[in-house]
Amino acid sequence: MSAPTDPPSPHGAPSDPPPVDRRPKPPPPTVDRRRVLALGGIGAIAVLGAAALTAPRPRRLGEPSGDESLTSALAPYLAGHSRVGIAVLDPDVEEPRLAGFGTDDGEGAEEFEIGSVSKTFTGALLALAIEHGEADLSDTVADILGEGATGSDIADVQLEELATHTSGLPTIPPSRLPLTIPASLLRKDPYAGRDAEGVIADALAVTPTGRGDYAYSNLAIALLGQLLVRLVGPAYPELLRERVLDPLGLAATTVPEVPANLAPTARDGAAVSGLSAAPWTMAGTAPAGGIRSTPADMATYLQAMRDGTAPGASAATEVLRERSGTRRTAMTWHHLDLDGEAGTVIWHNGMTGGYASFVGWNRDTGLGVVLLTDTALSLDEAALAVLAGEVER
Amino acid sequence: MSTVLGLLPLLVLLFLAGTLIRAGWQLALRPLHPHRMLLLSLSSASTLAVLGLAQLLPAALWWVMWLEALGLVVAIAFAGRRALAPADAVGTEALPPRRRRLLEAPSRASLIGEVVLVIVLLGLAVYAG
Repeated sequence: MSAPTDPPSPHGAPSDPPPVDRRPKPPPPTVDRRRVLALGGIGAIAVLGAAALTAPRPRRLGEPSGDESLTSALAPYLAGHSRVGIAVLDPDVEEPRLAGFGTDDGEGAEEFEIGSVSKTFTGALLALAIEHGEADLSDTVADILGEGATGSDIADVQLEELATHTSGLPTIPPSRLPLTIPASLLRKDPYAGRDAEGVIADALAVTPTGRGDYAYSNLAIALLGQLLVRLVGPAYPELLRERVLDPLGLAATTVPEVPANLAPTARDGAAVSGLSAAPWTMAGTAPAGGIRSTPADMATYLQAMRDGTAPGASAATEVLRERSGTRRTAMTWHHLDLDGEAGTVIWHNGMTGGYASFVGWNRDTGLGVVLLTDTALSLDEAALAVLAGEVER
Repeated sequence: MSTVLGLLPLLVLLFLAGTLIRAGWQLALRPLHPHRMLLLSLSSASTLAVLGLAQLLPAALWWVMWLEALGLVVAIAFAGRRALAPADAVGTEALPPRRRRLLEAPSRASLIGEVVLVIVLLGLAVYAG
């Protein structure tokens, strides 16, 4: 309890001066120099460590190789990329023109993840199954899974809806979202650990929304691929090899499904921040994005698709849905009318955690392009500029 | 709703940048208890790690993160120098409560919590590769 003090003077008259405190003043608190330096040092190291481990890494376009006119024409479009594979199909020229940045030889032999361009292979499998009379676009999930689909809200979803992204399925099943977010933050494969049966179970548990409207869905195409496997037989990688890859001679194109199946030379890509990103092998979701290929193989595939000689080539050209006046959807392939008289492009792009891709051709001019990069940065602008004839090549 | 979601990364980036600037300001200009200096340094390191792990900055802006980190290190140096200067015992009562609090040691729990958070985030960054 404090001692009572004199009340202040009511009229501001000077009061007695306070008594002088003659006791010795306490010395100022001493600071341990070493301790302060140590604490500051720890703080500084933590800050610099955080920056060193998580700061974006600058990306520089690799050394050009292969077709010089292609590399010089495309370099301005590829800022932020590092290793890029390029193949251009000129109309009326049999051999594709190959080039690259940061690739060892410029011969189109370097492997890239092609991401969602994988969907076009699943589209080709669907077209082949239809050609062989094994499936029909109007087949439903229940037709294929039988009692396995009983009670599911997607039981009456048709293969045509899955192939055109109009099934109402989300791109990622809601039950997997809590695992997807940390995987994305840690730059790992968000689809890992869910095999074919898991993908089918996830899809069957979904209540579709906006059915009939276009909504891009990895889950829908993954389900489509796994339903085709149920219909036709062996697992997705073997089915694809047997029906599409081997007939076209695409020996360097693979479906690893799990990291253990990756080639020892498989490289990590880079996220948009430039930090390294783990490979996406995608397990049971591989039909929607788990294929790896090379520019040379993709050029062969695109050429055969363009010329109508690829197995399942009708997947690209048979339009199933109109999205707008200028956009249509075939069996996983997209059609886009370019501005003016530049023609219609048949295309698909892709992006994984560390890679991006674009394949497509101009239906009116026959010009085709394959762009693959080991950076998760869109290539659409560069590819569409080529297909519209805006790039002097 | 989709507009808000589209702007979310930018909003989070602005919030985290604001947090870093405030911490740097306090470190550089305010008298701090040495433990408070450590706490602010560690929370800034956590914020930087979250910024990096969430990949809110594109590769082209790699230098922004290093600029922030170097600015914080300079601010920590200022804070350490100020903490080593003889304390002015007179006048602290006149300071507003918020600034007076900066001269007091933070709770042990908050310090331990911040140390654990930094270690976890840096561990995640190493795991991410």
